[in-house]
Amino acid sequence: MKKNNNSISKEARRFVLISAIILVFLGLLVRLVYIQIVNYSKISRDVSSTVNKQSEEQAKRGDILDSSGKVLAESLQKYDLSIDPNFIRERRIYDDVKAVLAQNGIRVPKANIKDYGNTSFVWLASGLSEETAANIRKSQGAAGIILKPRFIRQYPEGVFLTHILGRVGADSKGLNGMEFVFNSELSGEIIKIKQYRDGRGRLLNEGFIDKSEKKGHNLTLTIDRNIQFIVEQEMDLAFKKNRAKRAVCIVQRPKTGEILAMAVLPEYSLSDKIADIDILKNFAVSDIFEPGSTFKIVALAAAIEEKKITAQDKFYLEDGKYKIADRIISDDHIIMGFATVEKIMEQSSNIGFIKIAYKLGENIFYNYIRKFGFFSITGIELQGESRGMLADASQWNALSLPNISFGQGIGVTALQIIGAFSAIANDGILMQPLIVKQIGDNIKDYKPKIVRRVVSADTAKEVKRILKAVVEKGTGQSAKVSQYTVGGKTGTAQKINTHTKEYSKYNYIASFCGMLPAMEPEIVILIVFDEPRGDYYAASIAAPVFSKIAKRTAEYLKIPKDK
Amino acid sequence: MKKKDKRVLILILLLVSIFIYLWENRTAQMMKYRVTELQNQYDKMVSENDALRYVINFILSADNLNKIAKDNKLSSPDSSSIVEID
Repeated sequence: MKKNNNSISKEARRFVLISAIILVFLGLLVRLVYIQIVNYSKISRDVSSTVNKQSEEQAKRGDILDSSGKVLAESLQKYDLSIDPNFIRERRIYDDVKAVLAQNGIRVPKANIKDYGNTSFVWLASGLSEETAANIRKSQGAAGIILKPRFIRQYPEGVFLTHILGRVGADSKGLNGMEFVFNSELSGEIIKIKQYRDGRGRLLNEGFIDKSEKKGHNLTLTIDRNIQFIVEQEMDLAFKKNRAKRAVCIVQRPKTGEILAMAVLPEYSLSDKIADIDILKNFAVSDIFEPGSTFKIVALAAAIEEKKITAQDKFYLEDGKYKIADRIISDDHIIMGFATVEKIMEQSSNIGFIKIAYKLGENIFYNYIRKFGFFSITGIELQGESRGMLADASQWNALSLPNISFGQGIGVTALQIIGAFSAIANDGILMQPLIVKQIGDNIKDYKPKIVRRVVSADTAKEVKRILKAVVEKGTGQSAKVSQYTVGGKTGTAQKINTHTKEYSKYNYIASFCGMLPAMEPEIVILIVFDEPRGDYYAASIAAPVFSKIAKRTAEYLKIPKDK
Repeated sequence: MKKKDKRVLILILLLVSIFIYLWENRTAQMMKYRVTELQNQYDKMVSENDALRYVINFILSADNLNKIAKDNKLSSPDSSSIVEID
C-alpha cells in the first residue's frame, strides 16, 4: 500500500512539473504571438521611430574655375559645434566636456552647467576643421557634444574677381554675382541618409553613399586667372594713385567675345560684412556713364560705311570754338583752319566730329548707335546689366546730334563700349560677350555667338588704321606698347552735377579703349576711371595703364610681336 | 528509413537552418558596421583631400606666387633676353 502511495505521489509530481513547464511555454507562446502578430505594427512603428533615423544633408557646392581650370571658389567641409546642456546635466559630465573642448581650443561661456538653463542646444563654435572634429569625437567625455557638418565657401585667390564671383550666404545659397546667377547649377543635391541605432546607440548606415556624385556642377569661366591678376595689380596701383571713386578694366577677345578679365574697383572681401551695399554693384555692366571721345568711333565708322567721308576729307574746325543753338562747343586740342578726318580723330576734335555726324543725319547716326550694341542688353551672364540711356532720334533737339557725336548726351556701360571697339577689331562683326565657358563636364557649353555685322570689313580696316594713328601721333601716344602696334582712343568726359544739372568742372570720366596688334587685334582692353582726383585727362591716367596691361597680357598670351 | 531516424534528420535540418539564418544575420550586421566605418573613413578622406586641395590652390594663387617672387627679389626678365623654343 505504502509503495503504491509513493508511486502515485511521484506520478503526480511529474505531472505537475510537466504541466507547469508546458503552461510556462504556452504563456510564452501566447505572449510571442501577441507581440509578433497582434501588436506587430504598433511595436514596429515605435521601434522604428526610436531606432531609425533619416537625415538630409546638402551635397558639396560646385567649384568656380577659370578658363584653364584653376579654382576660383570652392567649398570646404567644416563643423559647427554645439552642446546639449540637458543631456550633460543629467549625466553630470560637464567637467569632462569642458576638458575635451579646452584641449581643442574651445572656451565654454558658462562655468556651471545650470547657467545654460533648460535647453538642449547651445552653439559654441563654427568653422572647425575635420582634424579638430575627429579629435573631439575620439575623446573620452565627448558625449553631449554635437558636431554638425557644413560647407563653407573658400576663395583661394583671396580678394580677387569679387564682383564677378559674388558671395554665398550662411545657407550656402548665392547672394550675388555668379554664385547667384548659377545658384541652381552650383548647388549640390540633397542627400538623404538612412541610419539606424544599434543596441549601444551607435548609428549605422543603411548603405554606402558616394557623396561626390551628388556634388553641384562646376562652373568654368572665360576669365584667365593670370590676366585677371595682371589687370587687378595694375588697376589697383593706378586707382590708388588717381584716388578715383571707381574704376573698371575689361579685357576681351574680339574674335570670340570672351571676357579674359574684368576688374571692378573698389573691391571688397567676400568673407567680410558689407557696410555699403553699393560696393556690390558691378560698375562694368550696371552703371551708365557718358563715354566722351571713345564714342567717336561710332560716328567715324558709320560715316565711312555710308561713304559720307573718307579719311582724307577735310573739315573746317572753326578755330576751336563752334556755336550751336545757345551753346559754344570747344576743342581741347585746337586745330586752326582745316583738318583731315584722320587728324580730327588723332586730336579728338569735337567740332570735327559734329560736322562728320551732320553728314550722317540723325536717323542714320541713331541706327548705327543701335547697331553697335548701345542702348541694348548684351545678355551676358552677369546680374544687373543696364541697357544704357539714349533718347529716340525723333526726340532729339538741335544739340542732341552734336553732343552724342562726341560721346555726351548718351549713357553707356563699359561693356557696351568695349563691345563696339571689339566689333571694329573683329572686321566689323559684333560678338556677344561671353563670361561663362562651360557648366559641369557636359551639361552646357557656351559657344561664341555673332550678334550682327555692323560695318563692312573694309570700313573696319580703315577705322583700325585711323585708331593706330591716334596712338602713334595723336592723343593716345602714352598707350604705346613696345614691339606691338596699338590702335585706340582716349575719352575724357565731364560728368553731370546732379544738383545743378550742369556739366561739372571737377568730375570727369577718363577712359581709354585700345586694341593690339592694331590691324589684326587679338585683344581689346578698356580702362575707365570715374572721378579721378588731380589729373583727369585720359591720355595721362588711362592710356598709360592700358600700355602696362596690354604689354604684360600680350607677352603672357604669346601674341606675336609686329613691331 | 526508420521513423525515429527521420525525426532526428528533420530536427538536425531545422537546427542547421536556424544556425545558418542566425549566422547570416550576424554577418549582415557586421557588414553594416563595416560599411558605416568605411563611409566615415571615405567621407573623412574626401574632406581631407578637399582641405589639401585648398591649401595647394592657395599656395599656387597668383597673389601668393607674386609675394614669393618679391620676397626672393625676382623680377620680370627683359623681353629681349627671352628666347622661345618651340
